[in-house]
Amino acid sequence: MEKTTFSSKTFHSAVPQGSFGDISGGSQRRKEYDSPDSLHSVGWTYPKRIRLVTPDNPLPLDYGTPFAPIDVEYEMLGELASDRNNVILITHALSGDAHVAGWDATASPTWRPWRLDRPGWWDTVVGPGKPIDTNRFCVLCVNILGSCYGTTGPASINPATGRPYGQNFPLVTVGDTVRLQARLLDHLGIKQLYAVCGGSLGGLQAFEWAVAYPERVVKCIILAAGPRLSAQGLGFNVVGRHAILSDANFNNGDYYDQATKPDDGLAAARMLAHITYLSGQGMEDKFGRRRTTRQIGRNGSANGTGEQFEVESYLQYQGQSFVARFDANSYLYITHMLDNYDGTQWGNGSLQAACARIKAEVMVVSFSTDWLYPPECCREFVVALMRNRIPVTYMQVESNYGHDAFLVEAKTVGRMLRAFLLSPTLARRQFLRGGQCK
Amino acid sequence: MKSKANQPPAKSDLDAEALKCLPGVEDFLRAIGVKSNDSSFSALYQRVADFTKSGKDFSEHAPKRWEDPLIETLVRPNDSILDLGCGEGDLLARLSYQHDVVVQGVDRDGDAVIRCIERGMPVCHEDLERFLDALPDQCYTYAVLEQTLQTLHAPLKTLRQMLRVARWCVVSFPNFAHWSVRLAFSLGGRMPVTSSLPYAWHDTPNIHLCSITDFIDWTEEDNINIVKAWALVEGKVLDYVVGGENDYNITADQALFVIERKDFPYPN
Repeated sequence: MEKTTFSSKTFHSAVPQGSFGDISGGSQRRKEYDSPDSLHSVGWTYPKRIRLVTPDNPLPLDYGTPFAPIDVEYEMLGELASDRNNVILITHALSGDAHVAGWDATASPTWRPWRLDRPGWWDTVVGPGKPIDTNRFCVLCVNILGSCYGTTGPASINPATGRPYGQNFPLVTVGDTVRLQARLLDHLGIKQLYAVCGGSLGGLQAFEWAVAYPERVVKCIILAAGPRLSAQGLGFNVVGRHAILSDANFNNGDYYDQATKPDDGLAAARMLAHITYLSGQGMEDKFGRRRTTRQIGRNGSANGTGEQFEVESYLQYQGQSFVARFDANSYLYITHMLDNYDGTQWGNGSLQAACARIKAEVMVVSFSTDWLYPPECCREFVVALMRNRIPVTYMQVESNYGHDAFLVEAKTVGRMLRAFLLSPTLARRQFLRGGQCK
Repeated sequence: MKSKANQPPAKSDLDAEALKCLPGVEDFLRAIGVKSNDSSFSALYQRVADFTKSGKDFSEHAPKRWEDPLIETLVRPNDSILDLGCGEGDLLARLSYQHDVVVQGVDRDGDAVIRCIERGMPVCHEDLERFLDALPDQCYTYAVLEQTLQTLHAPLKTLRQMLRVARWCVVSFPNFAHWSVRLAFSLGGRMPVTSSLPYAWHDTPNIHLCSITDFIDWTEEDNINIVKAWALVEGKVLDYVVGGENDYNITADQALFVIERKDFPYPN
């Protein structure tokens, strides 16, 4: 990859026109990104990977025996302050990775090639002068446990057998992931997080952080996430997993040596999931019943005229590009992680009791057309905190983008994030009042 | 001690963002010509220091809402206050910076909510009439409804919900029986436009206006006790004694009531 070719301040994605590779709108098929030399980009980034958990000090898991070894991949952007109190932990969602912003300097046509075309997944919000300002804060993003982007997961080699874990990987939870992140902070010498911020599965992690480590979180931002997934959300994930498990190539998770992997199952799971990330109205606006003549899918068209519905080619593109970058076993494990999470666990079934542990200032943001975590679901956090007389900030964003809105509505969300991150902390307000800190 | 007190506090003690959050500071900065996006801290700090040396304080520049100082006299340490229709959070900031209380705002205007967040005031972006239903009994000491009662679709339902959610309810509203309103309508024959009711008939948000007497009638019907009341008469705040000699229903522009349920049905 010739890195000096990026000379203009913005340049176009390498995703071919008409492939609907971006999620920002139907008519806009090209997307402008901040180039690595832009003043608003964090520039080239270098993922770090360390062996964090060794067999002599294994990580306790919610289900099953303590687990080791564990490698962790993370990225750190911006300067760590001398007192290490300016850290914002960004927790990523189901298919995300530690590459939150900027351009991966290690990507190549053979290693994570999808990163050549686009910056990190939250580049619109994270960077110098952006709402999560890397001039001011040190941004840390950690790949979750069970993923296939550097942190140990089912595709990693089991040292006991010399082969990938596959379905022998232990069942992991949001709690385990947060415990692992806390170990990383210990390793980096960071006692307290200025903020923890995430959307969807990342929002569950943010909440878990505030409840599990109340003393270590100053501000907690939960986007498009509620205390638990509804039956409808569980149902979607069941169908997605069913598609993978019933793929002839799945071979009970032991497919890593095979020439053909359970790609059709994984693509089907992703296509279904992608529908749940949009809203009915959003899809209507973006695709309607328009047709395209371009052949994107392997399957061609159903009617033999070379035509597809735009929504068809879009979903096929989403499925195929996902297969190229994701592992089917990881998908199973991480959707289980999402399904199993229940925010009431810390309160023995009572969300109010769980929230009583929280010492952070919390902001919850919901999106009006979100299917997975609709506003009423996100509001459960708000009401539970208010029942404890814990001050809470809640915003409901009107958006047609469904669950994806937490990424797509970058301007609106960014405005809230900036305001909340820069507002005086509770401790600062008490200091200004001259009162005693509680 | 004295010489130390005269020294300017260290930069870490007082930075521009914290300053912005004190009540009245923004108006003050505007008054002395500093733009709100002025990032030059030292110049800003020098101006603030000069101003404080001159013996004034920021609260003079705070937006004048006659109810706010009265509500301040009500609160005691560890009280919790729910401000319904909090706007940009002037009352919240005033209470939380000057008293040891827990505050929470609710407003449905997105821009006002962002302003609250910038000031560090916890706020929910919600329609208050719907949001109250979700709250449990008696989770706040005071529920405050300033100048909003007359804009609600279901004012009585909201007042009853407030008395369920909070121990006391603080409510203020313009008095529709003020003499200027009576004159405007009876002699002028037009919809009244006064300082407390500044809107024309076609653009007013006020849909359920009432007079002080109407409000008192309702408290009697609904078995509600008036703990304390004030009236704003020609710019002066006067103690209001219900059933007293003065007929504030004709002289008062606005009124502020602190009410509670007579049959308090919740365990203490």
